[in-house]
This record gives sequence, structure tokens and C-alpha cells, in this order.
Amino acid sequence: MRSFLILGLLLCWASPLQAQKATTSSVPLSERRVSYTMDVTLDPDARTIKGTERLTWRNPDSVPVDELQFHMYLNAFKDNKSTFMKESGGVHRGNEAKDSNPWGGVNISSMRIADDAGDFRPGIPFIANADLTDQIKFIQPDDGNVDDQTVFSVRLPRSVAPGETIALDIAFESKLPEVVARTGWKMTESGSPFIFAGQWFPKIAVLEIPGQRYVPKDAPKGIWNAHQFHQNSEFYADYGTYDVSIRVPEAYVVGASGIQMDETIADGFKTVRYQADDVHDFAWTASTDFLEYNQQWRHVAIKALIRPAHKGQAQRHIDAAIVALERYDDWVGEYPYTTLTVVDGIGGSNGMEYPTLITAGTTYGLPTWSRFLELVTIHEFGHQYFYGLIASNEFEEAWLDEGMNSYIESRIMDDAYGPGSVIEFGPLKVGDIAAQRLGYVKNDPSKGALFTHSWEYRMGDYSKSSYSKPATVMNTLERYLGWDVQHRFLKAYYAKWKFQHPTTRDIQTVAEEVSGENLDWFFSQYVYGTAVVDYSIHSVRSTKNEDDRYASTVRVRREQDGIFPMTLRVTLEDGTTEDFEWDGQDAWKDFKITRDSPVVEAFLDPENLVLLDINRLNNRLVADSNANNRFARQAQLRAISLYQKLFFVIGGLF
Amino acid sequence: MSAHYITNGFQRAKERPRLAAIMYAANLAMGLLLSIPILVAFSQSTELSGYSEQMSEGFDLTLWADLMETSGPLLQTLLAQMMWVLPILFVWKMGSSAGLIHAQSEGGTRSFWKGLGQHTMKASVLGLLFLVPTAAWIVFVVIVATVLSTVLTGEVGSFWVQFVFSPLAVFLGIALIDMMHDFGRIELVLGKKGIMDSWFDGMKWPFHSAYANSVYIGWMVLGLIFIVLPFMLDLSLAGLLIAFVVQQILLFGRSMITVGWISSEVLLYEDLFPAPVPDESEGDPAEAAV
Repeated sequence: MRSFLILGLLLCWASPLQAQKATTSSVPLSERRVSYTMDVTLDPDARTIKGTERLTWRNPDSVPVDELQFHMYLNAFKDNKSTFMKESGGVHRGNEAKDSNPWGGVNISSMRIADDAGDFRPGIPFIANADLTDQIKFIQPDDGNVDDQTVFSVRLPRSVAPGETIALDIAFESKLPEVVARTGWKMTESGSPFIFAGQWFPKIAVLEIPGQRYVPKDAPKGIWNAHQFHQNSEFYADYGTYDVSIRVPEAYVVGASGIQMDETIADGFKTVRYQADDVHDFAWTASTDFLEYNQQWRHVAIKALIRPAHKGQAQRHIDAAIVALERYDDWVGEYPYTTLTVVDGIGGSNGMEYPTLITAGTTYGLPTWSRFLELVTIHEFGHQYFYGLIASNEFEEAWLDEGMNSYIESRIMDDAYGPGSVIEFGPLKVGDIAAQRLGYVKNDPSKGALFTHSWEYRMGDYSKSSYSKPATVMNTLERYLGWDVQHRFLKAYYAKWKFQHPTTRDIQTVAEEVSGENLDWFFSQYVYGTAVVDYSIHSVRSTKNEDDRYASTVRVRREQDGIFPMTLRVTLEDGTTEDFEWDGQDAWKDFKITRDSPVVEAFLDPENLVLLDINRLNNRLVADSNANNRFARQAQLRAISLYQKLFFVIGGLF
Repeated sequence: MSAHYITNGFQRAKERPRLAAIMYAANLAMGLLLSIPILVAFSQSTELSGYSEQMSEGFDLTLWADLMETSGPLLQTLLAQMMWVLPILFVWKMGSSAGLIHAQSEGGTRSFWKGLGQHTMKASVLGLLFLVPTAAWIVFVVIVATVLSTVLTGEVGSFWVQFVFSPLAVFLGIALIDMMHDFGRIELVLGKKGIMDSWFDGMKWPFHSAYANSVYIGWMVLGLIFIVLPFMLDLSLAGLLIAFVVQQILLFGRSMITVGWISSEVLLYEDLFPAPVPDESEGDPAEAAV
């Protein structure tokens, strides 16, 4: 009994502490090259966020660095000359700004070297108070568009020594655009602006040092990896800590990355302070309309900020998040953060991920047989891993985050909701794995390698090659290796690369280490290349020999350039089946089978393991004696009665 | 009183089941004709594929996608078919309705085919004229919906305007115009009026007789039930043939409703406007045969 009391006291003591920690760990989980301390004020009428930023950055290189590079992505919405606007025409995922003054941008009024490095790491006294504002120079590393102001560099008065930390004090004002792509404002139904602040502050880029990602180990120095804001690209940044105080009118409900540390109210304003550790971005949202729903899952405090029109779907958001949390925890690794905020945003702000904060998206009256809400929530949560915890470069290798996430998303959806995981309407059942496969195989499958810079894709190839194709590639790899191996591969990939920036090469290495198999053949064709898999049964022929046995020949063909090992299953007239393995290398191959019964059916990939095969219908062929048109006759019956009903309905119009 | 017309209309339909059989058979024949490309396309794609049984037993998105890709060109002909089916359907609907009016008038003793032969052309022109108020109503609903959208703003407002008000208003409006059309056609066939007079007089009927409205609504509800039921009938694949047969029974029932519906409207018309002395050519009892 006494031990229970002690335990109870310990729990009571521990709980508030637990609530004050942004992660489950008492030690840093990442390298923390950066830290941001920000103090900002929202003016919802002017749609501005004004404030200060103390940035510290530690030089990870082994040589001095005399230049810093920054992202200023809000400038993508500054005018119609930015690279984003030129590439997108101002439309993103069907969202378009409609306000008479939809533009936004960031203005840095002051950038100075601070006296010290703050509390991040004791810094060597720098050149304190050196004003760098005039040193800001916009650069365009991707396309040379001189009107694009989404990346800038700053030449320092003296170099930052290896391991040394520099602290900058930045005063800035962000003008939010009307939401087109992810960030900005949008008027709510109650008439107040909904705010979503993503990519809203000056943010330092990643200095990739020799040996990191694709920078050769023997390179003389690191290279800044900073890309402009494109129509088809997302983000890339270093891990660190964020301590952000946000001042908003009192009526606003705020949600943000990390954990809320405190809240004070004065003069009609509310100041909320958030802390996020071991993350590489910070986003927040505010709206007077949000309804707040909370639920605890293990160590994670789940908060759903739901618009009034969707309050009937609040629990669906939370349930979907838990479905994802449970499976990611089992299949990939522990979610180390103590909070997760699910935001029901507006328009183009939806369907997006930020550390510990995601935007979902639904519509009023969404029926339960349509699980797009669940799909989006699970997908965006998955980015906590493939983007958040495993921070691959979204610009250069989008498949590593979107594709891996789509793969796990499809697995979760089908595991949690069954064969009709996306749509389940009477006999119409559409599963996520099948839907992802369809998005690839029937969408010009020979175009768009996974390993492609996201802004270099041909129009229409980005979404296929970053989402549905990699999901299908990884689902196929899972079926090739077996779930047991794939499971270990996913866990090993997470364990090795969490809080780092892995590449395609790195994920292949982990897969090979875990499976014990050289997977060059697979990655070269389906990740680096655009090989297309299509195998078919060309013919099934049988003749009776003099000894009353049957000599059957099954001819199989490789219709495209993709090569994949195949299993051929033949069924004999007496009902027995036999499997044959084929390496799939040759353009065609004859399987000669002499048995007491003739072959009546030949079936390639009978277990449906090779989801990359773009035409499954030609994988199977029966002999003429086994022809079966039951399906066609049923389809005709259905069509007849459908036409009859339609005639009555149409007749009613006349 | 409305129930009286509905009951008597149904009684007349029962007395001449061949009329319903004609309606049903014509629909079935057109459905059969249009379904042939589906049979051919699907047979070609699946007969030797080995997937026929599997595809019969459940929806498989993958196989269906492959099937649509393989059979696409042939299935596209289905759309092309609608180009000629719709005009035929229109003329048949106009002619057969006129035939039914003719057949069910004067105690249900007259010939369907004679009515069809005599009135199809004029009834078709009249039908085209009724497309005018239909189009006007749709334009009106669009305008009202646009105005409503400025009042019922936001996602919830849009939902109610787009998915509730607009379809309901279009449906009710078309039903009203269809009723006007029914009585306009009766004016044409039984009242022996010209096309324009029939058009104008038909449009007066909702205001002319309360029974006209209630009889129409009564039959419309029955008609909807007999259309929705076959749609709802689970076409479970194991029992598809049984399901098909049950659907056909329901669709024959729907044809009976069509005949009963028009019979009720004819009865109502004849009560309000007793039939003139028939022409010699129309007075032949022998024409009662369909």
C-alpha cells in the first residue's frame, strides 16, 4: 500500500514535468545546430506578424564560414514575378487567391550580430552589434530569376570558426498572403481572418558539410543547400530548438508546434509561449472560430482545432491521428514528442505538415463511407516521421518524405479500415494501396523517376513520382522482401537516420543491410530509373502425346523494359497446380510441361506481389476449354437494368 | 377524390396489362441493344483472362482499371450511342404517352397504336415546347441559387444551396412542368387542340385543378418508389440472375404505374371535360385491341 502511495506521489510529481517537456527525452535528441527565440505580434486586421528573432547557428564545418544563407519563403507571394508564381500561375492544388490584395512577403528591418550566442552554446565574442542589414543579397540558385526573393545570403564581417556559434538579432515583419499554398490568411465564416503562419520567418538554410548527403567527403568545405520556393517543392532545414512567444488579440485560439509553456492576458491581448525541441521548423495558427478538442494517447497530448462547421467530425480527426500514432509506433519507431496538434484549416492551408502540428481538411457533411478526412490526417501525421524525424531534403528527393509517407499511409489505411479504406459505398470498395497503385500505373508510368529534383519534374509528374509511384514501389519491395524484413528495414532506417538528413543512397544501404541482399537491380530500375513492369501470358497450348500424356507449352512475355522476378502458376485440367520461377530477364520464355493432364490456366504473379505491374489483366490466361464469360454476362445484365432505370428517369424529364 | 382517380387509373392499367407490357418491352429492348457493346468488350477482355470469376465476386479497382484501359475504345461507343438513343427515347416517350392517353380514354376502349400513330409528331413538337419552361426554370433556379449564395455564405451555406436547395428546386420544378406537359398532351389528344393551345392550356392545369396536382403527386411518389427500389436492390453477385429477375418485376410494376398514372389523368380530364362525340373513325370498338 505504501509503495502505491509513493508511486502515486511520484506520478503526481512527474505529470506536470512531463507536461512541460516537448519531447520524451531529457537530453537533446538532435544535433541542434540552430536555435530560434522569437517574440512576435499578430495584427489580424493588417494580416501582419511583426517581431524579433534571435537566431543562433553553430558552424558544423571543419573550416571557417564567412557567408550565411537564409530562406524567406513568404516572398514567394510578394508579387507575380517570383519563381513560385511564374511556375504555378498563382494556383496551387486548385487554390487561388481571390482578394484584391492577396500579396504577402517578409521585410527585414534589421539584422545584427548579437552580443553573445544566447543560451544555445557559449559563443566566442563576435563583432557585436555589427549591422548586417545592408549585406542581405537575394540569390537565385535554382533558376536565376532575379525577381525571386525567396533565398538570400549575408556576407559576415568575419568568418565563423569551426564549432563556433554566431547569434543574430533579426527584426522582421511578415505580411501574410491570402492562402494559396499552405500559408497566409483566409476569412472565416464568422468574418474574422483565420491565420496560418507557415514558413513565415527568416530561416537559416542547411550548410551541408563534407560527407553529409551528396557532398563528397574530400570536399574542401561545406556547401549551402538553399533552394528557392517552387510550385512543386517543399522544405529542408536543420534541427534545433524554438522558443516562440506569440501575441494575438484575446479572442484568438492559438495552436503551434511544440508545447505551450505559458499564457498571459493583458490589454485585450493574449501572449502564448511555445517551445519546440529537436525540430526543424515552427508553424502556428490562430482563429477566433476554432473549437478545441483534447485527448491523451500515451505520452502524446492530442489537440484538435476544429472549425465550427466540422465539429461533428472532431472525433474523426482525433481517431485517425491515434490510428496513425499506434501503427507508426509499432512499424517505424516511437513518436518522441509530447504533443500533436491537428488543425482543421481553410482551403490551401490544409493537407500540410509541420513539426508536431498538421493541417487536415474536410468538408461539411462528409459521409463516413468516404475516408478522405482520415486519409489526409494519417498522411500528414506520417510526415512527423518522413520529414519531421527523418529530415530528408524535400526539394531534391521528395520521394523520401512524400513517397515513404504515402507508402506507410496506404498500409495504415488498409490495415485500419479494410479493403474499402478510402471509399466504402455498398459494393464499391476502394483501398488505399490499390488507389496509390492506380495513380501510378495508369498515369504515364514511364515518365518521372523518383530520384528527381522536385522542381524539375515535367508537368503532372511530380505528384505521381513523389506520392503514388513511390508508394507502389515500396509496397512492391515489401512484398518482395516480406513484411518481416521490411518491418526491420523501416525500424532500422528510423533508428539510424532519425534527426538527420538521409538520402536515397542511405535508404538503399539500410534496406540492403537488413535484407542481406544487393538491391541495385531494384533501386536502379524503379527509384533512379523509369523502368515499367508488364509481364503477360502470351499463349497456353497442349497436345496429347503417344503415351497419353500431355505436352503443354506456356509462353510468357516481358512487354516492357522493367525486370522483376516472376512466379508462374499453372493449373492442370485435373485441378492440380504447380509453380515455376522465372527471373523475368528475357523478352519471352516457353515453359514446357508434360503431365497426365493438360494445362488449362497460366498465371503470372498469382499472389499479386508485383504491384508495379501496369497491367494485371494480361498476367493470366486460360485455355479455350476454360473460357468463362460470367463476368461479361453479369455486366450486361447490370447494364440492361441500369439502362431501363435510366430510361424511366430520363423519360420523367420529358 | 384523388385516391379515387388513382385507384381507378390503376384499375384501368390492370384491365389492359398489354399496355404496360409494351412500355416494359420497349425499355427492355433498348436496354438490351445498348448493352451489347458491354458484353462484347468485357467478353473480349475477360473471357480468356481467368479473372472472370474473380471479377464477378467483388469489385477490384486494379482489374477494373486494366479492363477499362483494354476496353476503352469499345466502351466509348456507349457514349456515342446516347447521341442517337436520346432522340429516339424522346420521340418514343412522346408517342407512347399520346398512345396511352388515346387508349385509356373513353373507358379504355381505344387503340394504343392508333393514338401513337396519329399524335406522335404533334406530341413531339409539344414536348419540345415544354423544354422551354424547363430551361427557363433551370435558369431561374441558378439565379436564385446565386442570390442565395450571397446570403447563405460559407461552406455550410454552400452545401445547403448546392446540394439541397438547387437539386430539390430543379426536381420539383421539373415535376410541375412534367405535370403541365401531361395535361397539355391530353388537351392535344383528347381536347383536339392545336399545339400552341395545348401548350398554354397545359401550363394552366396546376392552377386549374387541385386534383390534378394531388393525382400527379400520388403517382410520382409511387413511381419514385418503383425506381428507387430496383436501384437499391443489392445486386449481390451470387444471386445476380435472381436480382435481375426481381428488378424486372419491379420495372414491369413501374410500367404499370406509367399506364395507371396516365389513366388517372385521363379520367380526371374526362370528368372535367366530358369527351365530345367520337368521330366515326374513332368509334370502332374493334380498335380496343392494343
